[in-house]
Amino acid sequence: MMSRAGAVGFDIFISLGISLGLTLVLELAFALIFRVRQKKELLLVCLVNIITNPAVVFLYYLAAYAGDIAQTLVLIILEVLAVVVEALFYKTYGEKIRHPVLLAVGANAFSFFVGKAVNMLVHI
Amino acid sequence: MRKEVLFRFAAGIFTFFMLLILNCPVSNADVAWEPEDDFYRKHADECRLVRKEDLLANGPEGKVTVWQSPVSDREVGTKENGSKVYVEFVYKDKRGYEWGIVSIGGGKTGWVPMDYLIIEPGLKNFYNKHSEEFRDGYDDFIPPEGVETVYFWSYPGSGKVMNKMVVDPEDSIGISTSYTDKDGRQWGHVSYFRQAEGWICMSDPSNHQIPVNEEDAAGVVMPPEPTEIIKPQSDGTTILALVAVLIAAVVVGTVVLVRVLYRKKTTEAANPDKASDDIK
Repeated sequence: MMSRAGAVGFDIFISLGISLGLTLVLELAFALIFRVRQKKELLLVCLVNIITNPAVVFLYYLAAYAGDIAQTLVLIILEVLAVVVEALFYKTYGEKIRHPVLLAVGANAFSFFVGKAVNMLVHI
Repeated sequence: MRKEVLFRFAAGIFTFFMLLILNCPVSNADVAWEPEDDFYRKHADECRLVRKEDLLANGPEGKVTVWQSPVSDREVGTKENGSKVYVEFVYKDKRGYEWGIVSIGGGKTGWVPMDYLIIEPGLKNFYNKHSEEFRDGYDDFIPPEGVETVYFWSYPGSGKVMNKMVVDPEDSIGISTSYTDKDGRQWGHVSYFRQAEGWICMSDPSNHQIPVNEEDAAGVVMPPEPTEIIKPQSDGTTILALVAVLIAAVVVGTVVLVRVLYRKKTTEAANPDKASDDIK
């Protein structure tokens, strides 16, 4: 995740873009594993992540920029909120999604941990 | 009885005015000028009073850009190299660069990197050549009778009058350092007199035509222009606000898109009878 910067530049847009791209790939992959196969449902997965991911990443960035707030706690809160919002959307709009809450929890956990692993590999 | 009441009333009024006077903030006629500048107002406690008068602009490409603030990339003016610059306050940014607040005329101010301002080369040369001839000053220099104006010079023999002060017969000027030039004139350095600073010719304080010391002036050259480019660095507030607005727009837009694209399920859920009629 982004660390506190001495000054904010336009690289925040790049960070948001990379984060969203990676999240979409990982969550779609998980959705397919979860047997979500209809194009309409897969599009829903994409749209829901466009709703949650940039907002979560930006708010986490703000917390890191502020510096004094417990960042792990902020991350947990944000991820839980993202799961809740995604589950609500899947339940409301996902006709063929049988277990919307499980999908939301699983997809977010999958993308979170794989994302962390990728981050660690990149910084080695 | 009546006298007692009147006395108490008078005592009360007197006490009231005494308390009023004692609680009034003491103002000194000699207060530092505080600039009418938005950035300065927000960061006044981080700014340092320097009062530098003997500075010349010396920036890359022949000029020094004056910026709206040390964190704004908006240009508000320029100072040509060699022009005199007065800096009252200095601010140090997060990168460690110092920025001086300068006047750009019309009551407006701007900020310049202090690395682009140099001490007047003639002044520097004068101090290098003559500092060993300096003597301690004395507390009061009282202008001779008949002197109504005292001229302040950049340095003895500079030929540059920086300021002139109208003085009263009872005025005395504190001298921190004294110096005698090759022509026998006695000079005194004034650190502060009614916000003015500089050298006065104690032998002839009202003479504004004291000639240049050609010997000292010879060989004084401006140093080379700096090569490092120093620009303000934004504190990011504007970009963060822009990003927040964009993200909000994306979120709202996507929510609307989802509602439009996936309307059928919600419509059927709201109207199950209609849905079953449709099937029939």
